Amino acid sequence: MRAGIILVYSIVFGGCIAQTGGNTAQFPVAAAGPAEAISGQPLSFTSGAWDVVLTQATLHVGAVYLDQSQSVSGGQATGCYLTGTYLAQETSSLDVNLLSPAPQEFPANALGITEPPALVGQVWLTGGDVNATSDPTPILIVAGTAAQSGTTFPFTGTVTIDSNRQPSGGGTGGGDPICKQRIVTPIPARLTILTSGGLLLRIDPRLFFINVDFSQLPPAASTGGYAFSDDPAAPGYAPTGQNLYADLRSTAPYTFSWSDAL
Amino acid sequence: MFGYLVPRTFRFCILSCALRVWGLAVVLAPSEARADPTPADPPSHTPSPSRLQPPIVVDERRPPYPPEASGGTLRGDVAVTATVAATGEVSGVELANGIAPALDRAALEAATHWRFRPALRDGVPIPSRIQLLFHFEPPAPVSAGSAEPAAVQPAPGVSPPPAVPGPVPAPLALMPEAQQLRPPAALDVSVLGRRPPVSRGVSDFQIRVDALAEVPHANASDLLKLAPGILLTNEGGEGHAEQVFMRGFDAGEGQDVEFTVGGVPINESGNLHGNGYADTHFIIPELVESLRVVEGPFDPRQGNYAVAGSADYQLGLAQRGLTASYTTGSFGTERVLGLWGPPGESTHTFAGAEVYKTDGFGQNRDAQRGSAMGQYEGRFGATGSFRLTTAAYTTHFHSAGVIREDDYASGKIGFYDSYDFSRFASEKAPEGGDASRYSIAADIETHPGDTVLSQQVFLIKRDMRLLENFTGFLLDVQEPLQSLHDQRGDMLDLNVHELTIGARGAARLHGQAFGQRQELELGYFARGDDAAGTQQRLEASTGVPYKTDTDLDAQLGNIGLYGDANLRPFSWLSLRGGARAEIVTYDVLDNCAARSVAHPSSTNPPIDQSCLTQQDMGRPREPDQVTSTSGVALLPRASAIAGPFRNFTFSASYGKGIRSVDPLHVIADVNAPFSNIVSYEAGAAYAGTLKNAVVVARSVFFQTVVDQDLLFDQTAGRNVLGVGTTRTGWLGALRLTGAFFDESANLTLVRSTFNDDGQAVAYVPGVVFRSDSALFRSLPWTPRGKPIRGSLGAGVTYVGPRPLPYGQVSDDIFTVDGSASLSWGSYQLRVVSTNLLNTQYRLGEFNYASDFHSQAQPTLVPERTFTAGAPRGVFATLSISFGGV
Repeated sequence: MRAGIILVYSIVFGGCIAQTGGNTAQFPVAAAGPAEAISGQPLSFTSGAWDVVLTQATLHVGAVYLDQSQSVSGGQATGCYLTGTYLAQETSSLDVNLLSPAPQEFPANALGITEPPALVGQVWLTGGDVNATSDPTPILIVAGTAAQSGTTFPFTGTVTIDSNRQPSGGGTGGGDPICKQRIVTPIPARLTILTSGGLLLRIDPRLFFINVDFSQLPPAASTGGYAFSDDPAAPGYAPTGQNLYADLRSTAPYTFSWSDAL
Repeated sequence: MFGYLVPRTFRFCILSCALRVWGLAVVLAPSEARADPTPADPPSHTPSPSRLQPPIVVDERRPPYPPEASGGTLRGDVAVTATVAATGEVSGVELANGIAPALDRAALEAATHWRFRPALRDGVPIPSRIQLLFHFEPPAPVSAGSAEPAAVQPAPGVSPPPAVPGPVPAPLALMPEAQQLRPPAALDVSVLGRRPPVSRGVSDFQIRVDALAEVPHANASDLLKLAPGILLTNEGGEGHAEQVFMRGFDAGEGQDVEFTVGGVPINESGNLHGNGYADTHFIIPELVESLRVVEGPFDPRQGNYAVAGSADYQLGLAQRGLTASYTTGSFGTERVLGLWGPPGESTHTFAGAEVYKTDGFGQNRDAQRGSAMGQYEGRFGATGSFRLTTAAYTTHFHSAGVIREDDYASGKIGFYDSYDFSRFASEKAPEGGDASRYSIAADIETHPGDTVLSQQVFLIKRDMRLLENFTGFLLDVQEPLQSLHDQRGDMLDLNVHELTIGARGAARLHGQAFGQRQELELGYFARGDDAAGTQQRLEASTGVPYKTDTDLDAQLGNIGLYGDANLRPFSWLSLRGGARAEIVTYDVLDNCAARSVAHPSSTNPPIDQSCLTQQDMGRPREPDQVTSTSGVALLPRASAIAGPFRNFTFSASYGKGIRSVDPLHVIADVNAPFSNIVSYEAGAAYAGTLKNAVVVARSVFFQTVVDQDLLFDQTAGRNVLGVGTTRTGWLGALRLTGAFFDESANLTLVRSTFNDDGQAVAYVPGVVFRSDSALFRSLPWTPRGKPIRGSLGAGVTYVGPRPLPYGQVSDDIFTVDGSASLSWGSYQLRVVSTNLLNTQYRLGEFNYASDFHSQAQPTLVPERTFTAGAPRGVFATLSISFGGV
């Protein structure tokens, strides 16, 4: 009976069930280091006057979102969530080896809708609840050497976005809540979600070290080298730790694209 | 006292009023007690020491107009006398007064198929002689489109007959068989009753519940399914109004359907959950005698909210005496029902009360309710009548809410489960609510001269609380100028308190012109509503409000004036319609005088910025700004109904309708307080006989355009104003009524699209099929001389896939309900099974963003969510009747 009724409906209206526009798609999401990186090898690059060799760069991505919102100016107060319709979400987390150009898939597929096109992306650098006061998850782990004028600085660094990142005043009085520390946005992401392929997020660790003067790194007692400070209250935090953290949260290192290869 | 002008629409028109169905009071004068009561002599309420009660029709056969007589102009009444045995069987059928052989034969043949509940003397069945009058009228096309083969017109000065004709057993007397019959002229019958409005075409469904009461109908809303294109869903729980989909409309909880019960409005003006919210759960379904569903705004009597159409419930109780029933069954369901129909009074005089409780078919679906309704119909003068009606209803219920499809697919939650919001100390799930409704109404109808005057007043008190959460933990985002907080949950706590007072009245005149009866009616409707509503957001962990979305006090006025003509230039053509003028006024006080903080403190910022009624950081504010607006609409409506060919009727209708907007939109500076609708349709109906069955079939093509439609918004938890839409479709309906069966089936195909981009309107089903079937007859066993009567009922529903936002399409729905009952004497045992096939189906389906903390990170992308339909349930009801027939 059902088939008969549907057939009658299709005949009367010249087609099947009318469409509301768009479609829902499940698709893979992958993250990778820069395409120029070579798998299994350190990543060498020049940052300012420094020749840097990265031997480790791992970023913990807690979630990825795409939204239809237009970017807003930096001076305008915003919440952590964007105002438009979210078009894609990858809610599983992944530790991304940024030294590998190969796409590394998140463990679960993402959910998205095909219309309208996305404009803005968000990368959530969190190990749990984005609003949690405490989150000791290492978000970024880096290690390598930086050389300038024959002087080499072996360095390590671990960045967390824990209570140490809570703005003074507890996010009150015009300050930002902790979630804003953990969400990198607005990342330009002009792309359309398709029913085939997947979303590729490339993260360029070279851009984490812009304006970093490795000579000002505080010594690391345990390794004998140098280490980025993760404590904004510590004397050696600025400027190196501060700049690394600022670069981590800038949108420049992050690029979204749609990949048919996924 | 009988007298009728008979419908010309159909081939036949039988005389008068089917007592049991249409509640016309037959006042029988027992020879011992009272011989010839006059109309002004109301029936005694004091039981006679030797009380006689007339037989009641159980099965009836309506004779068609004989084809061999159709070429002539024969019309009139054929009187047939018959004996009703103590078993209810009919014998000794004789012609008492004939008019022509063909008509006489048809009447005699039909009378032999009638079955009765026997006459009673002091409660003991006795044989009786009765007279049946069959009125025949040559086929003609006037009241085409009436739902059934009828729309009987009253004779001047006579109380109007019912919409559906049927012979009245006119008891000559209750006396031992073989005693002399009294002549037909001395019938001890008086008639009360109201004439239903004349049909507006093929989409005017005047539906008798009749034998289809055998089909399981959970509540009064469920009876709407007897009309085509109806889908009912409910995501809010048993005390929440049904969401009605009618002929391509998502009518919300009644916002697009004008609901009335006996003319008293059900739609709630000023309800924050939706202006026009209509909760029909207060109606005890056993007290629904009939309903009239008009799909489209084609009758000038239809007022505010008649966008998709209107539904008017007519109350009545055929069973006289006391009836008590107890129901028990699946899900811990129990129901106690008491009905009272005083013998000798009109079927419109009754009282009923029910108490109901269920644990629900899954988590958090328990409900309790009680309802009581009473009505008294009495005479007013020689031909008039009055009614006093009261109703009371209260309920407390929980709701399972929605479930995300991905959570169900991953096994995180069961199909019939509910998200655990946790959180109130004493209750696991807070979704649900309370509701109550108390009303009184009085109406009067008189017939001075060639005029019928009617007047009704009503007073309604309504309170409601709804707790709903469609989105979980999505909306309470951290704002830059707030103190830090987590998502506290999106639980809506909606409270509404309303007081409605109103009246309606009409004067209908008739006269003769062009050799035809012509009619004109002028009428009005007026209501005032004093509504107060608040909507707050509750913190899931504590149940404490953390934000006030809305706090309104509203006074709404609505007055409508209409003129309606029923013109018959020819015997085969009726032109019906006129115009309605409507005014709606608003005075809305927004108690939330301020919604933002102009200069938040940097050291002590607020956590929320909502409804700052008194102070803004120490600066006083006056929360007494009233917003007023009004609007006037002129709404032409017309129908042309023609019947140039035997058995067939053709109709075309046009009408404009309105729906007043929410008071919330008034404070948001919406200029026009109306949404406007234009509707067109054209159709054809067939009414005739097939062997021994009466067949009524109809086909309608329709189109409806709305300038501002209501669209579901999950963040508001209700339908909100959107853009314009258009619906185009077709519906077909069939009703087949025979001596032992009653079948009603309908199919609606409709496409609903947005006017701007042509895309489909989400959530509206394109295909709805419904079949209601009943079989009934006496079984060949007569323990203690009493026959056993058996009945079977089945209801089949098919709802095609519904378009959902973002290109999704819902599942279809296919369910079968069934029932079986046995009646013996005063006892009836009924077993009902809902969802007989135990289909696991999604009653409501949506596609929107929600976050129920079921994944590691927030789920912000639209995802399918659903409300579960009920699994198979089995319920048994034992009923016992005392002291009536």
